[in-house]
Amino acid sequence: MIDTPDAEVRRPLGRVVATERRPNTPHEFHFWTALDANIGIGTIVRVDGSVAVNGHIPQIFGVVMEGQSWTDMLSPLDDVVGRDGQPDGGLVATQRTEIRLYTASVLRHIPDEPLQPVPMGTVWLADDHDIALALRMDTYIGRTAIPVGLYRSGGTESPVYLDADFLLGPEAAHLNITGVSGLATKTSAVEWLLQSIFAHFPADKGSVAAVCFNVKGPDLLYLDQPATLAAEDVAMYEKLGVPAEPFRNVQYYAPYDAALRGLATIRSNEALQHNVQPLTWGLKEVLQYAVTLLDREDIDAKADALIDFITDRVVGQKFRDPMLGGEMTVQTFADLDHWFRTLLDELEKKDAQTWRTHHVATIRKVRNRLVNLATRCAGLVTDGADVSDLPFGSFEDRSVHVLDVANLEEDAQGLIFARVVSKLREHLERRDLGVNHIVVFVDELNKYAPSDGPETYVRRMLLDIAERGRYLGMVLFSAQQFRSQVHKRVVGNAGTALYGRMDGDELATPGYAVLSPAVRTKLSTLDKGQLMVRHPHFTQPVFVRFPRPSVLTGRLGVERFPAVAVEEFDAAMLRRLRRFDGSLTVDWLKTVIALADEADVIRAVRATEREQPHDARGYFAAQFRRHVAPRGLAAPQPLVQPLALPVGDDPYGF
Amino acid sequence: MTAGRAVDAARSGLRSALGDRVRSAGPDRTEALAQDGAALIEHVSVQVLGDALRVIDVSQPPHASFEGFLDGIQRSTTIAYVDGVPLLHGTAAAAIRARDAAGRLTTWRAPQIEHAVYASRALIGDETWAQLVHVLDARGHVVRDTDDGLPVPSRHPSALLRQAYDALSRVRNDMERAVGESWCDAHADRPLYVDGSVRTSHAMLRSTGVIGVVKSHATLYLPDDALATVTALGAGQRTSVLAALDATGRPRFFTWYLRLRSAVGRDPFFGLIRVECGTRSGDADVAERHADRTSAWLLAERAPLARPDARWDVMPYAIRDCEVYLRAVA
Repeated sequence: MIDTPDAEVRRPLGRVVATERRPNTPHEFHFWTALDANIGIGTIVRVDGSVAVNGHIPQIFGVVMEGQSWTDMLSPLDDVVGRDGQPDGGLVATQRTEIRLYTASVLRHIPDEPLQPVPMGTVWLADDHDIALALRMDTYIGRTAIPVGLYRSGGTESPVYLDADFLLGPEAAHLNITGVSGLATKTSAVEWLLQSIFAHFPADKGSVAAVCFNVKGPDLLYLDQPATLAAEDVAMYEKLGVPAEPFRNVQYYAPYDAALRGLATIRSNEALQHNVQPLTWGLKEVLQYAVTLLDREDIDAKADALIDFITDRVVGQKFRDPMLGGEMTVQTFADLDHWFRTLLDELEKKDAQTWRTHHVATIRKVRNRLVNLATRCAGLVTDGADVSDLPFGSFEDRSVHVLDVANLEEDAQGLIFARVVSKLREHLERRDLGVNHIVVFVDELNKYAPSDGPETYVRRMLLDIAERGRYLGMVLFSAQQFRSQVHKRVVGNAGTALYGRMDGDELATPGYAVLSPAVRTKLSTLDKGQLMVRHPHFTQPVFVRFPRPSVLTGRLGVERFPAVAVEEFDAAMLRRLRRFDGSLTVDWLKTVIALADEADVIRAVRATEREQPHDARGYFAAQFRRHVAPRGLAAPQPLVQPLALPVGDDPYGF
Repeated sequence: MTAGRAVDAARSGLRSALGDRVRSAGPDRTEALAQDGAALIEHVSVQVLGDALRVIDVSQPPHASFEGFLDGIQRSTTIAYVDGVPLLHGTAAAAIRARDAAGRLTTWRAPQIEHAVYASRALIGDETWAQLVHVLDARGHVVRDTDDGLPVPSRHPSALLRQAYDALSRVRNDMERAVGESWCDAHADRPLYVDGSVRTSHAMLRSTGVIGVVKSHATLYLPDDALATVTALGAGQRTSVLAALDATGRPRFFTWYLRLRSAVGRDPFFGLIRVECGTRSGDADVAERHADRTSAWLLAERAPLARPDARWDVMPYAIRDCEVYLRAVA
C-alpha cells in the first residue's frame, strides 16, 4: 500500500514562475529554487496550486528535465572589469544574485480534467505518496507491481514499480535495455529484474520462467551462486521487498566442444556440474530448422522442396521406395547419409537423372548441405540419436534456463535460438510448456536484430516475438549497446525501456531528440546501478537505482570457479562420468575403454549422461559389452586370389 | 561637417594642446547636475582637519567588512486631478540587505513599504479629504498632506506636484533613517553601508560602524579652492578628513572624498564618492585612521560591478541588489 504522507512540516522547494516568453503549459512548467535546494535532473516535484478549479485545488506532478542558472550580470565583460582582468585576482565582496530555474515535464494532473496550464504555486519535493501518484502507480501497487528500483532525490527514497500487466503481458510486454558495454549495467539490470519478477509476480497471474541466451562472457553463468553484497545493496533489497539471494532453480545448457571432450562452456568447474547438462540435437531436431544454417542464396526452391520432402516423409518414419531396394528408417545423420548414398548409387546404376521429380544434381547438393551440418555444428548436432534438450513441457515456475552459446559459431547460435524459441512458442500455443509466461533474454541485439543488413531467420523470430509474443505469454527481454541500430519494430514493441549510461554518439541520434539536453547529459554520466526507465504508466522517463545483483558476477565466478583446463581424453571423459559416480577412477576407465575407439567412448559417455542411471559404472561399462557380443565368424578368405574372374567363355578373361 | 565630427576634431585639438588636463566629456553626471534646474550647487561650511586638505593614498588593502547595506526607493504616479489639484500616488520603501560570510545577500528584517496618496489638503478641502481618506484607507493606502502645515506656495499644478514629490522623498528618507536606526539598536557598531547621507540621524552618527555614502555632488563639502584637489584624485586616493560644521560652528560629522575608480578619460566626478560618519572620537588622527580603514572597505566593494545601473562607478553591487529587491517587493 502507499504510505500516506506524514504530518511533518516541510519547507517548499521552490515557486512556479512563468513569463510571456517562457509560459507554462499543461505539459511543462518552470520554477525556481534556492541555490542550495537538493534537486537535480530527474527529481520529481509536486506543485500545489492556489486557486480552486471546480472546487479542487489542483496538484501537478512533474519531473525535472532541464535546469538553468544565471546572474544579473549584463555582460561577461563586467566580471573581467570587476576582477581587474585577473581570474584569480580581485576581491569580490558580494555574490551576485543568481537564479536556479528548472523546467519540469508534467507527469500527472490531479484532477485530470479540466486539463489546464500549470498554475502558479509552491513547489514541493515529492514524497513516497506523491511519487506513487505522479507515476500512476497507485492503480497497480498491491496488485501487479514489480519493483524496478529506488527513486532517490532530495532525501526521498521511494520504490518505483512496473506493472506486471505491462511488463509480461497481456496489456503490453517486452523490455529493452540499452547502454554502453563494460559497466555490467545491462546484464545486472536483467538479473535484478528477473529476481524482482520472481519475487513479486502475482500468483493469480500464473507461473513464469526465464530462458537466457548467454551470448558472450561469463555474466550469466553463476546465477545460482550468491554474491557478497554491500550493506547499501542489502538495504535496497529490503526496501524493495526482494530476497537478496541467488536464483534457486537454474539449469545450464551447453553443446559439446568440437573435440567432444567436454561442454563448450566456461562453467566447467566440477563443483558446478550438478545443474549443467549438454545441449545436443539429432537429425529430427535440427532438420526442421536447417534453413537457419543454409545459405538462402545457395538453397533454391528445388532444394527447398527436397528438404521439405525429407523432413515430412523420410525422417523418423519407415520409408519405402523401389529405388532404395526396400524399407529404410532414417533417425540420425548417419542414417540420412546412408539413405542419400543408397539413393544416389541406385540412380547412378540406372543412369537415372531424376527421382520423384527431384533432379540428381539437386539431391547431391542437398545431401552435401545436410550431411555437412553435423560437421559444421559439431558438439551441438550429433551423428547419433542421443538428444539432450530443454525440458519443454515441464518448465518449472520461477526457473531459469541458461543456454551458453558464447563459444559457438554464429550459425550454430542461430540454430539454437531458432529452435528453442520455436519450441517455446509451440508449447505456449498449446498451453503445455509448464509455465504460463516465459521471459526470453537476448543480449547483443545489435547483432541479432540489426536495423539494416540482410534478412535473417533470427531477426524474423525476434520480430515475431516482439509483435506477437505477448498474446502467448512469451516476453522478450533484450539488450544492446546501440538502440538506434536495432530494428525499430523490435525496440518499438518493447513496452518498457531501460537506459544505462549512454554513448554520446548514440545520444546524438534522432531517437533521443525527445529528451532534453540535460537528460541526455545525465544519461551520458549515469553511474553503475542507475537507470532511466520508460514504462507505459510513466508519462516521462524516471531515473532509478537498482541494487547490485545478488548473484556472483561473471568475473568473480571465473575466479572462484575456474574452468577446467584442456584435458587428456581419458581425464575429460572421467570428469564427465564422475558427475554420476564420484568413486570412478582413471584406471577403471582405462580398463573399460581399452579396446574402444574415441568415438565409441564419447557415445557411451553421452548415453550415460542422457540416461543418468543410478549405477553409472555398470551402465557405462555395458555400452562396450554390446560390442564384444559373440559374432559369427566370417568365411575364411583365400590366401591367393585370382587377378580377375573369367568373363563368360573368354579364355583370357578380359 | 556634422556635429559629431566637429566635436571629435575639437577634442583632438584640445588634447594635443593641453595633454592629460583634457578629459573626455559627454552625457555624464557632471552634465546632468548642470542640466537639473532643481539641483543647486552649494557649499557647506567645513573645517579641514590638519593644516590643509591633503591627498592620501588608502594604505590598507581592500577588505570587505560591511555587513549591511541600506537603501530606499520611491516611485510615483499622478493618478488624478481633483478640482485641478494633483493626486500623486507614491510608494516609498527601505530595507537593509545583510551579507553573510559567503557574500550572499538576504533581507534583514522586513522591509518598510508604504503606499500613499499625496495631495494638498488645504486646496482639496476637508470634506473631499475625508472622502479620500475613507475610500483609500479601505484599499490600504495612507493619505498624506503635502502641505505639512505650511502655507501653499502656489496653485500651479507643477508646483503642487513638486511639493508632493518632496513629501514622498521625506517619507522615504524617514523610512531609511528608521531602518538604519533599528540596525544600530540591534547591532550597535556593526558595519552598515548607507546609500545617502546619514547627517540627519543622530543614532547613525553615533555608531562607529555606520557610514553614509553620497554619490551626487550637488552639495560640495569643500572650500571652493579645494575642488581641484578632489577632481584630481586618482583611483584609491582620498582626501583628508573634513568636519562639517553645524550652525554654531561645531563639528557635526566627518566627511571625506574617495575616488573608487580611475577617472582618466572620464568626467571629473566619475568614481567619486563622499563618505560621512560620526564624530564620536573627535580626534583628528583617530578620524584619519577610521577614514583609511573605511575607505579600504569601500574599495573592496568595487566588485562585482553594479551594472547595468548607470551609477555603477560609484554604487556597490549590494546597493543595487537592495534597489532591485525593493522594486520587486514594493
